[in-house]
Amino acid sequence: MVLYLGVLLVIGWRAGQRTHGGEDFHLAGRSLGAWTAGISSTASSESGWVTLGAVGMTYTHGLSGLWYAPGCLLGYLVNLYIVAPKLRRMSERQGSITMTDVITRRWGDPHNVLRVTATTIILVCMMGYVAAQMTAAGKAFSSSLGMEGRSGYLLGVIIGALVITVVTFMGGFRAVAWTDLFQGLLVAVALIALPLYAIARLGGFGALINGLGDIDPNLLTVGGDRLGPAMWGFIVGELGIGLGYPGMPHVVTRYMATRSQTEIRRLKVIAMLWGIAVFYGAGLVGLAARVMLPKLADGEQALMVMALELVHPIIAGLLLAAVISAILSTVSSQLLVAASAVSYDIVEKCMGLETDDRRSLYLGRWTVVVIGILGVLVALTEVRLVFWFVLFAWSGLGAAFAPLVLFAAFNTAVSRYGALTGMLTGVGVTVAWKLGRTAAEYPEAFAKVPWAVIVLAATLLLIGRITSSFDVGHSAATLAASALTLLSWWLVQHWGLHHLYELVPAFFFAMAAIIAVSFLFPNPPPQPDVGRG
Amino acid sequence: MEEHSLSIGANMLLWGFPLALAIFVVVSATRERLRGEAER
Repeated sequence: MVLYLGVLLVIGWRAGQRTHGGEDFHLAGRSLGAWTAGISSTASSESGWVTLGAVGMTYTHGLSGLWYAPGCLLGYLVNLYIVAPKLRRMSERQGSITMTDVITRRWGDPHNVLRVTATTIILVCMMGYVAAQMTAAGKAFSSSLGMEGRSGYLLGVIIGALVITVVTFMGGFRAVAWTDLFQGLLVAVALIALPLYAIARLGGFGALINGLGDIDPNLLTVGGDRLGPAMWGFIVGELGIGLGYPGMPHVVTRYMATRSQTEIRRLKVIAMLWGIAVFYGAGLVGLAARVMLPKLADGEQALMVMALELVHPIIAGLLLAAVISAILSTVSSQLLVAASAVSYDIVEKCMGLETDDRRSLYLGRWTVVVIGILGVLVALTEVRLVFWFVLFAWSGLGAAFAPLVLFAAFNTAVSRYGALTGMLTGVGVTVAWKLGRTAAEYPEAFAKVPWAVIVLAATLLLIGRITSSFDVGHSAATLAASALTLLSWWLVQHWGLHHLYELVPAFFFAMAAIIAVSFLFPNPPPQPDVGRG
Repeated sequence: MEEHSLSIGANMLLWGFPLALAIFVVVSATRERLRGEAER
């Protein structure tokens, strides 16, 4: 473990020596090769979820728990074959450094309405994610170092957060991408080797199938123990996870940072094959674990328990490092996205404090420190509200930005008002639908949705009016998003669609909203230059 | 011990889809590389 952390720090230090300005810090100077950009994009998007959650899915549900794999891989396909080449070309032509830059420059944003909206959504989602990932890292570190109890957890969080913050501080995007490459390869090796070992130890694939069938024949079916609408809702929902990938800022910036279109072509193969190996490897680990360790209380611990009980200690160390790698590769990317959103999008662009390259670098670095400290404080004090945001983070980001990124890639005629309504609708429908699906768990929150929508819409309209940044189109976009959010809140209660994962309706509601509002409220024509004298 | 087997759908989910995707990825990359070499 000490060696592993040492490697991360050395990589960060070497990257720091090549980081000389703002564009280096936020986008590695657009210099990444295919392997670094490809593995970094995949490792960033797959957090501890793939080594814990995905394994737990197949442990609990058998084969029907594997539907996340085709869903995620279809998302990869769209990102790598459609979004990556077009976004790289567009961002280089525009001189864009962040995903927010791409959106605002594509459709125009004279009063920073789109930039502030996008940055707010990204910050809220990313802060929740960073704090939650630091919590997970704390638990993983304390387990792997044999430290029990609250003090073990505290030390684990501090160690994980310190290493990631120092690495990101030193080398910015380049450090994060290089450490992602190291960690992503570790995860791939672990998730290829462990299922092969486990299946061999069981006596082959036939023995695995017979073992699962003996426990419960439903573990061998594509629907599990679900029937009818519940089964289809589950399958469509799992496939719908892939809809979020084009909207993940920490993923699409890897494509923007790639050295050339040739490297984009090469990274497609690398990233797709990594995805196939890791998603199916994790699934097979869960299936094998169900036969080898049938009495686990929590399926998400299956990989950790297999590592500690079934393999040689050195291999166990490698597997535990892979679990931590999956978490840290994501938290470093998210920390950097949050820092870029504050230092570049808000301070430099919105507040108009554009500065020279050197100062931009210092601003970025110290923002990383501040956000890293905030993330640690939240993880240590376990502020419940922040962890609530994590429930909506993936689907909220995906629904808010994926339709826009796809429209940008296809050069579709969207107006800035359509873009605004897309972001607001995506987030609004995500929250309303999620609360509708889980109304029994959060009854008070669910009942307050209509009031929250009205209050938030009124607040946005008031702020827009006071700052003179809203025109008729912006107001219409806000009202349209509010109406669609309320509609989705009603639908999830009355149409029996509560089995459907919220990202699916949120994505399509956002797309429809973008098209409708863009049609009704196109961009105003550019003001004529009245010339001089 | 009873012998169990997978349905066609289960086999497609577990093996068919990833294999088809891997073949597609490798074939399309090879074609792009050959097209690039031909253009040069």
